[in-house]
Amino acid sequence: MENWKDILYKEIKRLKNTLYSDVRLDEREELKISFEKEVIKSVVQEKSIIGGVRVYKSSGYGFASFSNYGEIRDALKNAVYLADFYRGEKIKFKEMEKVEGDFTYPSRNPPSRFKIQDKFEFIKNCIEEIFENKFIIGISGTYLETKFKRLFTNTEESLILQQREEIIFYMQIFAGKKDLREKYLVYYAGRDFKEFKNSINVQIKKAKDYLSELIKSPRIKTGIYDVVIDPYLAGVFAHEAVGHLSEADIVFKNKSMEKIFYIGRKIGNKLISIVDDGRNVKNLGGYFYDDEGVKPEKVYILKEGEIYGRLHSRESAAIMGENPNGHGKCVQASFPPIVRMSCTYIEPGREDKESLISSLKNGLYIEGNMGGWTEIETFCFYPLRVWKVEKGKIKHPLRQVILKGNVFETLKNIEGISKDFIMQGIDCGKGGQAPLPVSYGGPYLLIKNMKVCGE
Amino acid sequence: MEYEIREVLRGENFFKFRGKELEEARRILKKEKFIRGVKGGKEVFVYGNGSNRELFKRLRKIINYGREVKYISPEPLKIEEEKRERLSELKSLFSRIQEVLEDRKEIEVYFYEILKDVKMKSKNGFEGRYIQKYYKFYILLKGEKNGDLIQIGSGRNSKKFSEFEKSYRKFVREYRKLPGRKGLPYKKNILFILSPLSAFSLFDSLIYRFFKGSDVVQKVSFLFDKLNEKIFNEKICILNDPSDEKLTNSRPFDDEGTLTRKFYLVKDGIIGGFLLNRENANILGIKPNGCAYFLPKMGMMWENYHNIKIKGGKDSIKILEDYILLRDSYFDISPSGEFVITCPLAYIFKRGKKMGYVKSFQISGNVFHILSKNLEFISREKENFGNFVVPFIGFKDVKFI
Repeated sequence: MENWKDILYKEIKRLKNTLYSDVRLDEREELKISFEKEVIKSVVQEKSIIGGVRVYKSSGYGFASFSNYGEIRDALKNAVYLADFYRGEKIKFKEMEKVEGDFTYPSRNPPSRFKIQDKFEFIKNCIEEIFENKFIIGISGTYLETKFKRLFTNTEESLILQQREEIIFYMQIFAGKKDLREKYLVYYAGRDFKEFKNSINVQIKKAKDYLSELIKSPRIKTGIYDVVIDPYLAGVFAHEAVGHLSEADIVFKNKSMEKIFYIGRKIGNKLISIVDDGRNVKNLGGYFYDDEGVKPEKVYILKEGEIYGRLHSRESAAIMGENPNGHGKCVQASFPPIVRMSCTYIEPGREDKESLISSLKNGLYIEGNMGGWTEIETFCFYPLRVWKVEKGKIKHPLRQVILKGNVFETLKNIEGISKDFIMQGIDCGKGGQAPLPVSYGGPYLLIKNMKVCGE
Repeated sequence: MEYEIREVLRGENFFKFRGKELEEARRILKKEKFIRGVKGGKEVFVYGNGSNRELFKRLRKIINYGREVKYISPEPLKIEEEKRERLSELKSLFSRIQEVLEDRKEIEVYFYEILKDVKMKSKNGFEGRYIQKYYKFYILLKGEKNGDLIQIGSGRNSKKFSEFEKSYRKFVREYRKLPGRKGLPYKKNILFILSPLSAFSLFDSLIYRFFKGSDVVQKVSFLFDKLNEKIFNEKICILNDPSDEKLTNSRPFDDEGTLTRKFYLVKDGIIGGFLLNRENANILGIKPNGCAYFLPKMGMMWENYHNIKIKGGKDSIKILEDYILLRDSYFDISPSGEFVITCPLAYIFKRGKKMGYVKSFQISGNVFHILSKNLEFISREKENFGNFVVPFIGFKDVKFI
């Protein structure tokens, strides 16, 4: 990487006469262990170098990628060539401080310190353990370990090297009985190998117990229910339903969004505040500098129910005449940075979990998440575990449901927030760029009138 | 040690316009190489953009961690090389798009040119190469009335853009005249018609969820023991065709070097086959059909379709009188077949005429029911979405949420 520093520093000087330009270079090493049925299906080792050049000359950027030294000049030329297509007014970038430095993300037990054999054996044991449950009919999943260095330089002469290691693991579990099928997800995203092992062991035990009950459980009728959701699902809601709307590129590229998600609009009740804060690098979603050389800032997306701020890259900030706050990120150097979240959470409240559940007369208690999507105001989530609650008491599990609704209506229906608080690492996708490590979290939430699709 | 080397040069030119203004221009060139090595029945992959020597070195290092595999080796094949086109050739197309979009600030156009140059060789003599090149257009209509994503289409060449332009203009003209409605005029027996775009979403989810060999082998798919059984209405025929040059995902061999072939997933309502790579075909005791896809993200050999053709019916959509046309919808299907359709935009038709539109509602049901006993209509007209050719599909008896 030291050689590359000199090369890129020299090459970026060729772009001095452009409005703004930057180059990113990734050196990545990956280990992927995939499994399916009852066996490890493949072991893949990947090592690659990939870079991208972004050039602004007027209203937009030209971007070109390269994968070895011989291609840099071509990529520079291509990016300049594409930047020449623009005809609009020049973007006025806010000048940023020149930054130089090497930064390594903290981890007590980075995965690269452990042998492949340890990882292989651990996954084999997990598979054996999960099939002890007679209802399990199939699994599939991947252990993905990434070690990467990202070098960034720009026409303001910043030169930043960031190094980190991550693990993303997921195991989809299918349980079945006759023609009935149920799905479950075991998931981890983080930087610590020992923490990963502990987390997966706990989750597998939970999965076995829950699926044995679930397969005999009834389906709930589709309808409107009062629900209590756990911090993981609350985090998904903060990230998917509200966080994405606060990404400034979504707002400025969509006129109708300017009328929906504007600063000062009251969209939730006073209890709720949602924050994005990437400053703590111990969190998976935290970082020293974003992929445009800007430090992350704490941003209140929602403060006491009112839209308070939004997340910016340098481009979105320049277009909207606001300040960049360190949210320009790309998943790989072969993509241009776009506005992304870091660590998004709902601030805790004053109540406790038990009092929220005991307030439900005929409702649901819901934990975890297996996926979902949002489309502007509409959201759709697949929770991991659902229980029926009657007269304030948790009764029995219910088969898989889908939660659907309108973000703004749901925010108004949040009537209780617990003081408990949990953050979790997760991966996020946007604009074809995935998996980007982020974090989300929050407290337990009591939500009235949630649309639940079941039978 | 036996091995297969697969090299992919993937080029993607991407342009995004807002009105007539260019908003994003990028050219991404990626070289990828993966080697699958098999030694003493153990299999591993290495992947990256290093030299063959370096990759083999890493392969030898991890080969002992591989698992045992057994499958049929691919047959030898040679494909002639095609010339790669240069970026500058896009210029003329580019200015045409800008002309079309003049004064239309409320829309966005996404334009992709995708080029894939795939080379593959193996120790046992297989050697092949193919080049895929196609364009994709998406038009996003914006404004006060809506913010709905309208996909106009995709094709292998730029001539298609003229057709997209016409259908776009027609759509905007009609849409602006229609009155909106708050509620859906729902009656139990109302006929719901999926537009080809919505039907594409249905069949895409259905095939992905139930026809992948890995899910069949694990019995995760409900269809695992239903080969040659009648599950769907006899009007349903789903053909996987990797050889149609007009469609975007045609290829002579898959990522394991198995020759691809045309086959029915469903013929006259009967399950005719699954998407199979060599390993799962071997487990099921049938021939692989060239559906192996290497997924670099997951690091495993997955299965997927190439080009899907859904057989059309005899009647035209024009004969229908009262129905709700789901213009654009997303399907979420559970492993047991229950689905929820989220529909951002639907049209209300009375006596064959478009009377208004409804936005944002959901319906639920079971996918095997709507394609068997509840299936009411398949149109003669079909639309092409690049690697999917699909008609209008009509059904009754679903639940409105």
